[in-house]
Amino acid sequence: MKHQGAARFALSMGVVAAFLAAGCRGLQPNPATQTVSAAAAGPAIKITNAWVFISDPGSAQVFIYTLPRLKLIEIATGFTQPQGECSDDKGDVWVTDGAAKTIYELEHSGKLVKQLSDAVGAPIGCAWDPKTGNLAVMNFLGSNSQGGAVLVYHHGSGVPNLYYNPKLFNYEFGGYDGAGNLFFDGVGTDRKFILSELAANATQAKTVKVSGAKLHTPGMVEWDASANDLVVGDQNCSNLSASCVYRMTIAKNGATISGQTNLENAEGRQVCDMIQGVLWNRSIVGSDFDFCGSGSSATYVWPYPVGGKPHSENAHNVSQPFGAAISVRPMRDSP
Amino acid sequence: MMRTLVLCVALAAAGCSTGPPDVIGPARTSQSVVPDSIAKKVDLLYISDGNAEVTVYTYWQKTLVNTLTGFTQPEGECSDARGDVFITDAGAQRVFEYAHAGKEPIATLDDAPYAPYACSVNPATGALAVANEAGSSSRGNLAVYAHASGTPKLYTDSTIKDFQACAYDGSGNLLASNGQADGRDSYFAWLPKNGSKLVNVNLPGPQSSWTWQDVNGIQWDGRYWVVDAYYLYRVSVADGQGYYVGETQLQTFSGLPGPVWIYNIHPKEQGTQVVGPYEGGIDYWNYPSGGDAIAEISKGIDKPVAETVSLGKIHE
Repeated sequence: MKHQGAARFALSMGVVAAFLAAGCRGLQPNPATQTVSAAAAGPAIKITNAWVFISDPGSAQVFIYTLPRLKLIEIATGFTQPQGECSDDKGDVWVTDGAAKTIYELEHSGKLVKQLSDAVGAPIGCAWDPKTGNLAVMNFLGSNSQGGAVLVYHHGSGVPNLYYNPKLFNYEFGGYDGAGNLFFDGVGTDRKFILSELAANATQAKTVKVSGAKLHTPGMVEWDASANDLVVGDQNCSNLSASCVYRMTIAKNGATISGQTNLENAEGRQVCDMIQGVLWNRSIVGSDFDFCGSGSSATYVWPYPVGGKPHSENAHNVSQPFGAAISVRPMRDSP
Repeated sequence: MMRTLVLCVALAAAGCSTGPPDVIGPARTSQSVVPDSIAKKVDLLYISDGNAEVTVYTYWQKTLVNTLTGFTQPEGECSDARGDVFITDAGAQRVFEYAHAGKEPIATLDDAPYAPYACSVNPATGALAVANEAGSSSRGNLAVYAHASGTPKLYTDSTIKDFQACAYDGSGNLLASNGQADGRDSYFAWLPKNGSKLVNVNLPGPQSSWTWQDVNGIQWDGRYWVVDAYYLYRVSVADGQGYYVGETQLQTFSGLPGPVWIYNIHPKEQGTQVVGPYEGGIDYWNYPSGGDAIAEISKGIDKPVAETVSLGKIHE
């Protein structure tokens, strides 16, 4: 083996040809122009100022699409292994990069705001706490064959505090509820699924017993404030190569599954592997990393909680899509 | 070569042909000094030798049990939970299956036109994966034989032309590599459990920017995949992404000429020893601690290229 020089990181924007044709000059994005582009896509679609950021470690890029049409806006480059994502109330998106051991903060346009170092492991997922403004990062693994951890960066900066669930080995994805409690998933050393909770102000996470179904491979974790339940994804629903998400009611004695949403492609086949999706406007937005069938990987918007076939699809860009986060354009930028 | 001739002369007197076997495939040519009843119970070490033989030793006592001959170019080996041993023969384009301590193959897989270099058994399904170089074809592949028999399903990869290494994890996910088939640089592909196509996967190394070179093989140690590239590098693959875990340094004079095998009697725990070839013999090390070799076998070995351990019934 040989060692190469220091990894390059230079976040740049790759602007798609259609966007250039719409009037964007140079490499700086133009959100206002993009909104017009989305509106032109179809009169039946409600125009939104929300974009979705899709991480793709296969190409080491993050693709930025309009919602709900999934028209490509920007491509952020310069990552090594972009993985799980989350967003804050400013419209900034945090992208974990496991190989670079870094968490990048991107603004709505995709421009780099700042980056956080992760000195203790490989970050794979994140969650932003609307109550405190803290950023939680889940490390899949630690250093020297050790298990992962939850790192909480106070107000998304500085040196993180570390938290553990002693039963967990690989930490994956997480989400905060409205009270500052962090829920996250992962697996133990026996590779079995574990849901955990780091309660607000707690010093150690605890296992949350899940009843109603058996989960196999950790997927998205997000609090659905509108339904007051926790949404947890399983990449191998029923131990098959098929992804779904579960709705869970959280109580003191654990989590009880209250519903299941199956995610299908346009042909009606359950998607192979949605790793980390995100809730948005009675939809789930995420990508299928398709290693199961003859189709290609793609990004979808599915109705939620109904599930089934997607509202919209884009199969042109991603190769090994991973995470998703919604960025709502700050009001001050509105035309 | 000299030792082979001596063996054949001795065996010819007992009725063994000294020429190539009349039937395609290996034949037993040695007399065991270990009673069959003992050999069936204990762990056995199978060593593919560059002299077209496979020598079989008791793992712990290091006593020669059998010398299996008639191969053309024996390469990588693997074993299943029953103790059956699969020996790839790149020259014959076949994979031979032996029962634990068996003296003749109990099954032969015709892998032509490809040249099989390594194999691994899926502990979840019993499927046999074979890492194929192109052989007399234009491109290699991963051949997966359901239940280690029949016609394989072939998986090709956009990046990897020839395969030289593969290993299943405990759940049935497969990691494979071109090894050294295309020069020094090594690449990896991942076939997820129930997956229908290979996915190229970037495995990070011990430093932030890392290029894999001279990969000898891949093993599953019970918890992690182990990439054998001078040192042993433990990696994990989840969600299609590779993670670097740690390394084991084996103190050797000039690196290993072939892949190692990790000795593991508890499949859900990490193995405890590792064996690997050097020029003229096989060394044993503790695992995962590594360091200096703790034992060796040199008697009866010319140019070892690969090995496997078949667990005996003593563990049942």
